[in-house]
Amino acid sequence: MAIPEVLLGLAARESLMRGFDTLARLLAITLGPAQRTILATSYQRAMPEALGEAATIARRFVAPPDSAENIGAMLLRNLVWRQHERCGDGCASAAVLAQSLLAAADRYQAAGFDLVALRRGIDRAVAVATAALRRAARAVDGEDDIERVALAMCGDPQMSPLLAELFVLLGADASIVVESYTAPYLEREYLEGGRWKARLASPYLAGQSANRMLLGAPRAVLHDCSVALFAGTVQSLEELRLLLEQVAQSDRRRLLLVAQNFGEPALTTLVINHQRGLAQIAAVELREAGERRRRDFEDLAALTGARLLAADRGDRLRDVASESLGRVRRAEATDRDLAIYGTRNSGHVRARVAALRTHLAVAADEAEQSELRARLGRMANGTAILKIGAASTPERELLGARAEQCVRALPLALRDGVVAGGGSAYLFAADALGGLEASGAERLGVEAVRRALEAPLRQIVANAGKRDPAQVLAELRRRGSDWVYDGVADAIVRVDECGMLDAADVLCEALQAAASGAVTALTTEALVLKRAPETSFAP
Amino acid sequence: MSDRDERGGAGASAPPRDCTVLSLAVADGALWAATDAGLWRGCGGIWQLWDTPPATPIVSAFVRAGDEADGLMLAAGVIGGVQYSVDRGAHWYEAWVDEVTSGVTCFTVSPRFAVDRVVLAGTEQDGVLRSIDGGRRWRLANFGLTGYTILAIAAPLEWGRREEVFAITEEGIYRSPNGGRAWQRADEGFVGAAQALAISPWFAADRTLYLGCEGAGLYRSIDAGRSWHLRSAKLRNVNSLWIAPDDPQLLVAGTGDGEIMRSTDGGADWEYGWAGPDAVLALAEHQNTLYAGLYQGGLLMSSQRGTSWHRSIER
Repeated sequence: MAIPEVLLGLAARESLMRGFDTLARLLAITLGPAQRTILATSYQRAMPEALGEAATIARRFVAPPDSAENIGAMLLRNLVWRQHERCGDGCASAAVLAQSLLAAADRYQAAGFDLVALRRGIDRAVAVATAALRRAARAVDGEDDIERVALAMCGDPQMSPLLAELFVLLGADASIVVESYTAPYLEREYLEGGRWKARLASPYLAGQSANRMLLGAPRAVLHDCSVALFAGTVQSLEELRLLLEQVAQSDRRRLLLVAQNFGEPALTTLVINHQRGLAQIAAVELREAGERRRRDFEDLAALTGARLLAADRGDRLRDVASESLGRVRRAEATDRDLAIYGTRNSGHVRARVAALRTHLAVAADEAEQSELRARLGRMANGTAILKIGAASTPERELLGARAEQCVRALPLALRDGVVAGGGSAYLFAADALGGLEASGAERLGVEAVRRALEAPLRQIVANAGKRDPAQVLAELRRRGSDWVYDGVADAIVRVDECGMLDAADVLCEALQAAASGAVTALTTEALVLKRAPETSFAP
Repeated sequence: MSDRDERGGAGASAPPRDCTVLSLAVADGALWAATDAGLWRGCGGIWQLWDTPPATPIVSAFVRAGDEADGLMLAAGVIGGVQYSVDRGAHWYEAWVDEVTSGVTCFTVSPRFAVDRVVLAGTEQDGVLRSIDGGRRWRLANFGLTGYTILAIAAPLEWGRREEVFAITEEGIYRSPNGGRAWQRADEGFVGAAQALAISPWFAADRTLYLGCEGAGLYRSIDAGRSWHLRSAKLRNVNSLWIAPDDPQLLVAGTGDGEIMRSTDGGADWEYGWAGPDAVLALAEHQNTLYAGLYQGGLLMSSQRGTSWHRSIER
C-alpha cells in the first residue's frame, strides 16, 4: 500500500484555499440576473455543455490536477450541493459568501489571532444576521406575488406565470414533476386524484366502449364503486365468494379489488363475473414492492375508507365484512396505474395529510422528500407536470434545470416569506451586526461575516460589469432596504417595482452553509493525500 | 323558403307555452331555445322547430362557438353525450366524450376560441368536460373540484393576463386560472348555495362577478372571486342572471318563484319586471329583445331590457 502524502500547516491551508477559490470563482460568474454562461466539455458528446446554474457546475467540476487543491474544491462542492439539495437555490450565493468569509478569516488567523474566538465571532454573527433576514421577510400573497418571486428565481417570463399557477393551485407542498417536452414551448398538465403504480390484472376487465380504441391501452373505469383492499395474493374462488355475493346484493354492483397478486383461478372467476354482467369488476395489482407497497395500501385505505386486510396479519379475504368495504366516486385502472377520484375531505384523509406534512417538514433526505410530496399530492392536491419545451436540446436542458430549481425553492418562499433580492437583503442584514458586543478575535470574526455579507452584492455588480461595486453599495445604503440593484437594467430600483425577491429561507441556509464550510476550511491544519486518490463522483 | 328553413321542422309557431326552456343561446343571427319540446330557432319573430341532433332527443344545453363564419354549434342532451355541427345545424355529429354517466347541463366557450378552440361543459354528476379542438373530443378536467354536479359555468367576454373561468357546483364556487385545466375554491365570504352566475362584460378591468343563490341574496365579488359580499338580500331563489353586455350596472335576475327582477345599479336595488307561477331557467338577449325561458311556461320577452315582460306570440 502506498504511503499517503501529508501536508501540514501553511502549505496545507494554501493548497486548500487555492482549490476552494478556483471553484468559487467559477460559481461566482453565475450569480445575479446578469449571470454568464459557462461552456464545459463533455465526455458523452462532442458539443460543449452550456452551464448556467451553480449546482450543476459544481457537480460537473471533478478532480482538478493537484490533489491538495482538489480537497479544497471538493469541500466547496459538497457545501454547494448540500445547499442545492436543501433549497434548490442560493448555491452561487453560498459559494461567494464562503469564499469571502474564508479569505477574511484566514487573514486574521495568519496574523496570529485566536482561532477559537474567531470562530465564536463567526457563529454569533451568522446567528444574528440570520435572525435579521427572517425579520425582514414578508409573506408572499396571491398569484401575482408568487409570479414575481418565480420570475426573480427563474428569470424567465414564460415560465414564471406557469410556476405561479401551479403553486397557487397545488399549494406549497405541491407535487410537481418537471419533464422534457417535444413542442417548442412550455405546457402543464394536471393529474387529478391519487395515482398508484399498479396494473389491471386482466385486459378482459377493461371497458368495451368505442373509446377504448381511441385511448389505446385497455382501461377499466368504475363509477361510484365499492373498494376492497387485500395485501396478499388472491388465489381461489372460495376467497372471493363472500365478497362477490356482497357486491352482487348491493345497489352499486361495482367493485374495485386491489391486491398484491391474483392467482389464475381467482382471476378467471372475476373475469367471468365481470363479463356476465353480475358485477362490474376491476381487479388491480399494486406494482411497488416491500415497504412502499405497504404505504400504498395504507394511503388507499385512508382515501377510500376501506379497511386494509393484510395476509401477514392473518386477515383473510374470505372473511371480508361489508363494513370493510370502502367507496370511491370514480376509479380508473390501466396496465400502468390506478387512479382514484372524488374521495377527499374525510377525517381519515385530513389526518393522513397532516401527518405527511409533519414528516415532510423534518425530512432531510431528497428522495424521502420527493416520495412524501408525491404521497401528499395524491392524498391532498393531485400532481402537476411542468413540461419543458424549447427550440434546441441545450436550451431545453437549461430551462429544465432552472425549472427544477424553482420547483424546489418556491415552496420555501411561500412558507417563510421573501426579502429584497440581488444581495440587498444580505447588505442590510449586516447592519444588525453593529449591535453585537464582541472584542478581540471574536470581534474580527463578526467583522469577517459583515464583509462576507457584502460579497454577493459586490459580485452581482461585477457580473453586470457596468458600475463600481463600492459606488452601488454606498448608493443602496443611502436609499434603504427597499432598494435593489438591477444588473440587467443597470439601475437602482425599488423592490416592489422590479420584483427582485429572494426566499428568506434560501438566504439563511446559504449563509449558514457558507459559514460551516468556511469554518471547516479555516480550522484545517493538515491534508492527507493518498497516492492514488479515489475520485468521488458522489457530490 | 331558404335551404336552412327547409331543414327546420314543420310549423312556424313559437315554442309551446307549456314547454320547459332549458337553455337559450344566440347563434347564426338567431335565438336558439333548447326545450323539452325540441330545439327551436327564432329569428325576426318567426320560430321554427329545428331538427334535433339524432342522438340527443332532448337538448339540455346549446352554444355557438367561434364567429359567424365558423358555423360551429354544440348541443348536449339530457341523457348524455355532446353533438356538434359545423354547418349551422344542418348535420350533427357525435363528439367523443370521456366516460361519463350524466348529461351536460351547460357550456361556455373560450373568449379566445378562434385561437385555442377551447370549450367547456358542465355535467350533472361528472364534473367539467374540456375540449381543445372545438368540441370534437371532450376530456374530464376536474383537477381541484370536489363537487362534480356543475350548475353553471361561465367565462368572461375577454381574458386578461389569466384565462379565468368560473363554475358553480353543488358544493361551492370554483375558479380556474388556466382556461378550465384545473380549479380552486373561490367562495371566501360566501354563505349559501349558489345557482346562477354572471360575469361583468368589463371583467378584465373591473374583476366583477355576481352570484345568485338558492336562499336569500345576491352576492358580488370585485376581485375575481377571491372574496364575496352580500350585495342584496331582496332577491330569493335566483335561478338565472343576465348582465347587459354594454352596461355592467344593468342586471336581470330570474327566480325559481317565477319573478323576473331588474337592477340598474349593479345589483344593489331591484324592481319587479314580471311575477308569474313558472320558475325562470334561462335569460338571453337577441336583437334588442330580452328573452326568459321558463319551467313549463315557454318563453317570455321584453323589448325594454327587463322593465316589462310579455309572452311570446304563438303564430
